[in-house]
Amino acid sequence: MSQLIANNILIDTTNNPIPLTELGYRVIKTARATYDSGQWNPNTTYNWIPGMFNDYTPLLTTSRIRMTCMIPFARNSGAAHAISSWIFYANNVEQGRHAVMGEHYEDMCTYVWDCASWGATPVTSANATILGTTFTAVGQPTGGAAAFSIGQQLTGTGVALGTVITAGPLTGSAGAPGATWTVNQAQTVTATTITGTLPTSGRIGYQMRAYGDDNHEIRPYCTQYWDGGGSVQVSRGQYVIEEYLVGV
Amino acid sequence: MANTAQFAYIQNRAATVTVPVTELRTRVIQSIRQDYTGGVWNPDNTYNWIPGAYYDFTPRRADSVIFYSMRLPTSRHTSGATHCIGNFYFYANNINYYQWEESLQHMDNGKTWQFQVPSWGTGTGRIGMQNRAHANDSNEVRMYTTEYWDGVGSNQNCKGQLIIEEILL
Repeated sequence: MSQLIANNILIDTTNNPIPLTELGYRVIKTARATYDSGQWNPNTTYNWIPGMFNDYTPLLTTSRIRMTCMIPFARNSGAAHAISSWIFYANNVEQGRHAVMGEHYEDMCTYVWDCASWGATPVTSANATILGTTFTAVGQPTGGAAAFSIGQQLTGTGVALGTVITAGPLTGSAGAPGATWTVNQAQTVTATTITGTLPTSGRIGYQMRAYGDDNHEIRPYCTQYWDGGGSVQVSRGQYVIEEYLVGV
Repeated sequence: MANTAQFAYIQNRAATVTVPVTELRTRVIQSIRQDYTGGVWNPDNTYNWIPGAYYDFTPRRADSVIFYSMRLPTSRHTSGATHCIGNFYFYANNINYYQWEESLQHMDNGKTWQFQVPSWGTGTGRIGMQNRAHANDSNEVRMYTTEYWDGVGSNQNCKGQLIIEEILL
């Protein structure tokens, strides 16, 4: 594997050099969906808002996941006082909640949620090393499956961001102390605790419920009183997911 | 010793990704994120900084732009008149860039506000939102709470989230 090691990149002589550390912050994976199936009628139990969730597998467990939701909504039935309760989840963990409410309330709002990535229970090895592209799990692997595996991301003091196991075990067995593996980045890490994590699929997005079924209700993806004629229009929603690394 | 090798592109070994070096100019060079979990905030009829919605930020560069994003739950919260009214300012380093009003009968929401302003230099400046109520404990929008939750009317604590990114263009 060829690797260029430099502190700065000089684009041209009229610009200051770019420190490589300033390229640490970067988007590494995206997902996007547009919902155009018309109004959604909620009830009094929490349900996933159609078009506002994604079963997402992070590229890395060390990243951040930012989901931007653009959701049109309207009263459109029952009492003038429209009331709804919303909860945002990432990988089965509630990230927060808020209400959407108002009399004759219609709008299209943007909601941005930024949360930590997720993955399987980590595996750890004490006194582990990475010399060149060879990772050696010196200490007995513990935690999670008690074994390292291909695809796991490695973290620990001195371990380069984005280090991933790409092959192995080269020697020994996956769950045994001393097993060796190939990683994607050459580096020198001596005798430290190294943790391996593997991203897993998890649902990220919104659930909502109405205060009363077909009464005191907010409905996503529609309007009321459109163009002065009172017709109900279909409104599109859209979400964008960006997985990014904060950098160093 | 400085390495002066020149490249127009960076390419991976499989040649599936080619990045013109000039496209690396636009980049985030500093970011902060702040989650607010302190529960309901009750404004009065003077302007105050909304807790969790401001940050004393020090730009790294004077030629950058500062991106501000704040997810801010708001609610009438069972207090005073049903017609809740809140006035908002957005400041960056003592400059009032934007002002607006939120008003509705029985208003609740949790939407995100986003602004982008030029860097003010490399000194520390406060960036964020101020708020006042139309009337104290009446005609009022409170932050980080709800009303009529789950059909039983309980008030929930809501989290806010502030994101600031300094971007070189």
